[in-house]
Amino acid sequence: MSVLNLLISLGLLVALGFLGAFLWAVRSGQYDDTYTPSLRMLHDEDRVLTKEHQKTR
Amino acid sequence: MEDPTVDSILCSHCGTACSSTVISEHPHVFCCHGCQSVHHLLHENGLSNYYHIDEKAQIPIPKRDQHRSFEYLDKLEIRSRLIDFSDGHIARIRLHIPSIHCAACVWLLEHLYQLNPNIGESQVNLITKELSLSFDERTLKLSALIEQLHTIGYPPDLQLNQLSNPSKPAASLSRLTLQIGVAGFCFGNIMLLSFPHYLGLTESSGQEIDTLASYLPPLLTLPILLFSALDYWTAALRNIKQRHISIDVPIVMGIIALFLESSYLTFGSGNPGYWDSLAGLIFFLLCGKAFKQRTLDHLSFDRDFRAFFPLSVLRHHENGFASVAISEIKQGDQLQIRNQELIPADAILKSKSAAIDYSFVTGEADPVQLSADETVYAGGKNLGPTIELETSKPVSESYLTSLWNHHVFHENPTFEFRNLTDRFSQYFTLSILGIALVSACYWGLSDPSQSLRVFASVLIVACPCALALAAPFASGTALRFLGNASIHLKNTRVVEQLARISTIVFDKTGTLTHAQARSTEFSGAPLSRTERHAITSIARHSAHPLSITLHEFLGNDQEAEEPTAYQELEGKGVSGEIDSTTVIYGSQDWLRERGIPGMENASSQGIHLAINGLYRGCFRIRPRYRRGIRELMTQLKDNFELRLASGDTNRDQNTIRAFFGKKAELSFNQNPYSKLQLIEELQRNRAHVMFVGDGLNDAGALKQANVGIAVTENTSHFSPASDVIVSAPSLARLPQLLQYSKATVAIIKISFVLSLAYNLIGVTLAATGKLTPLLAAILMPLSSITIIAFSTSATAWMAGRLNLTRNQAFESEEQ
Repeated sequence: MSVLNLLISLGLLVALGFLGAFLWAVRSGQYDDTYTPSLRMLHDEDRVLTKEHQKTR
Repeated sequence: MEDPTVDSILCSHCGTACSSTVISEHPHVFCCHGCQSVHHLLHENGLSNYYHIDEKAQIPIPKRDQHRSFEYLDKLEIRSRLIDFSDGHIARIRLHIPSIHCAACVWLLEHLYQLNPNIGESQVNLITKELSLSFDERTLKLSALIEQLHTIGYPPDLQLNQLSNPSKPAASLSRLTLQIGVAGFCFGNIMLLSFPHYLGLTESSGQEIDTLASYLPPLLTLPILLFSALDYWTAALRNIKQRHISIDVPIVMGIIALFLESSYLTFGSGNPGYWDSLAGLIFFLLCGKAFKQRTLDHLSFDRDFRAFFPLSVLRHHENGFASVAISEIKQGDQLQIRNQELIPADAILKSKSAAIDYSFVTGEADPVQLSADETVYAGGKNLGPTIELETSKPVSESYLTSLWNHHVFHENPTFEFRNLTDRFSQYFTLSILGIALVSACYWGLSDPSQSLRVFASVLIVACPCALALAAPFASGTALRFLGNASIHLKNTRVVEQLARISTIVFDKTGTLTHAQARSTEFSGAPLSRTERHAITSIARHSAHPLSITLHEFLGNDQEAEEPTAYQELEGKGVSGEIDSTTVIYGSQDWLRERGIPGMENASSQGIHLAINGLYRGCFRIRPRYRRGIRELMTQLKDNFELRLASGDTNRDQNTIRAFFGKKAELSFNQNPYSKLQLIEELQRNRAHVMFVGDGLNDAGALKQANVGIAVTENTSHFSPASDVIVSAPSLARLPQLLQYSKATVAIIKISFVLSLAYNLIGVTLAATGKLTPLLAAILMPLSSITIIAFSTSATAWMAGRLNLTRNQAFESEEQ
């Protein structure tokens, strides 16, 4: 049964890693605004295009 | 009145119809120079995408105000309050900007660095309408930054209370998220470790599966008890100290019983124990709490008068006027208040005359005419030309702000109302303790070794997890649906309060009537186009509020002309001549003095008009009642006692009487204190009072009432402290709101019965000594999930039945 013991502790370690990641995410404010980033990700490309557009003119 | 062709030309920047001036610049058209310059600015800086991102990106540019400067913001004490962080080089600031509303706003404000190289990173939160940005403070002054935001149509909302009390980000929600995260982690892992026991693997293989698997669950429970369940411990302790039983007491009793029993089982006999049930219980409870604690970041329910005042005012010093922060104003300062600005402190009028609109403070609809050396009160709005004042009291001691010294504003409201769950759990806790004792005694007679365990089992199985979840999920869902219908409740407690309302008191000005819009009607023979033109050309010259209303009413489709023989007499009226058309308008006295025949029979109210020496008729300006008020009152009349408490005079009494019905008591000329006292008196007669109001004059009554509802045209604008914020078009949904609250409370009660049924089954099992960890692990989540499913879906179904799911905007389009 020592294999099970090893597996349980390994599994718990992995899970603890994810818990740590979650705690870090909450504390760094990633859950404060869950809406605006979804808009932001669509914008970046447009901006680059506009800049190039400006240069060519 | 407006020409349809002019109407269809939309400004390329703000999208509003260009009515008076059109600046054409092919292919673009602008309604004002402000819009034009912003368009140029954005275009030159490669930000034209702003117009393509979102159709709704249409923000009117406020008229440029040459005199307003933000220099006062650069003063150290004000600056340090606004700026979050500064190292002498880079400064970070968070600003609330009410006009943020769409993806294009986000895009533009996050590309501010393209407009101004001194601005670093900027980030927008669309939900809270907040912009946080960093800038180089060596090269960019704070005042210049604010000015820049003003120019592009995003004026930040800088408020006095924010200055005196720097806002901190709400930490409670992220703490709850952390608690749920930890509880969820531990719960999941404990379940995983208990899984072999569920399948009966331990018994069949004949050996204990593992030492680690049986000792890890208690270890994993510790963070739950010490961190996640911390609030339950403190709440239960506080309740016991105050000698009243809330839902937290039986929960903590259950937690303790579960912990002791499981420790005894695990460490005494190597049994699995109830660790999974314990972890699951707290996890579910926390989820219910999170569901209840919906954030209404964009709304503010606890604003006081300071939020209403502007941040700065023009004060006289050696060379002219300069803007200073309101907190710096002292007694005896000379202030300048321009048109539409608020008076920040009680003061003596130094100008010859003034028209002050006190509607927000007193509820009076008409502006008050004052002459030199009379007292003006804080909160009044100056209508007409710029006036000068000398303050007689500091801001904090004025007549208006003294209302906030009343005791209702200092009471702690937390304990004045015990919610349904708490009242219920009082009996619940006592009966559970009774059952546990009786069954323990019964077992003590036959098998003493079992009696303690049975006692614990009863407490475990009766732990009111499902009971505690019913109310949060039902009222949380209700809050969500009401929010979609533009009715925003402060918290779930308000739902239960609403269900008990018996009396409704209404304010008039700004609540039943529109805050800004007034209806003007002309009685007399219709005016010709040239006559209208003559009147508007003359009215344009007068800064008197009535002239301005007249000017707006008659429209201005032609180029205005300069009148000859223009004369204006304060408090009387105006006369002038355009193209040999003589126009005289004003009070009845004014026209009689000017020798107009037939004035004796005319009424003393309204603006009378004479053209070329002949009486033509009278303009009446009335506050306009909101749409649907009559239907609203008809629906409410039968089930509730209706009352009116208005600060205005009783001139509209007949109209209001028709709305309210014969029985209703109407009180006029009420001041803020008497409104509050009226509510107190009603409450002494055991009435549950709801007050519906809008202004600062209602603040006391809103606070005193069991439920205070603030009506507002725009939820991001000012509304006094209240329990509910209703956007004006949704006011007509008041009957639905009350009905819905009653239905929600009924649903909560049904859920209580359901959870009691589960408890009854569990307690029977426990009292007869048949409860096993496996049964508990099934029964507990099963009861919780059925209660959650029932209360949520029933509340949602009720919302559909009461038409709350349909958006008000669509509904008004259909009409």
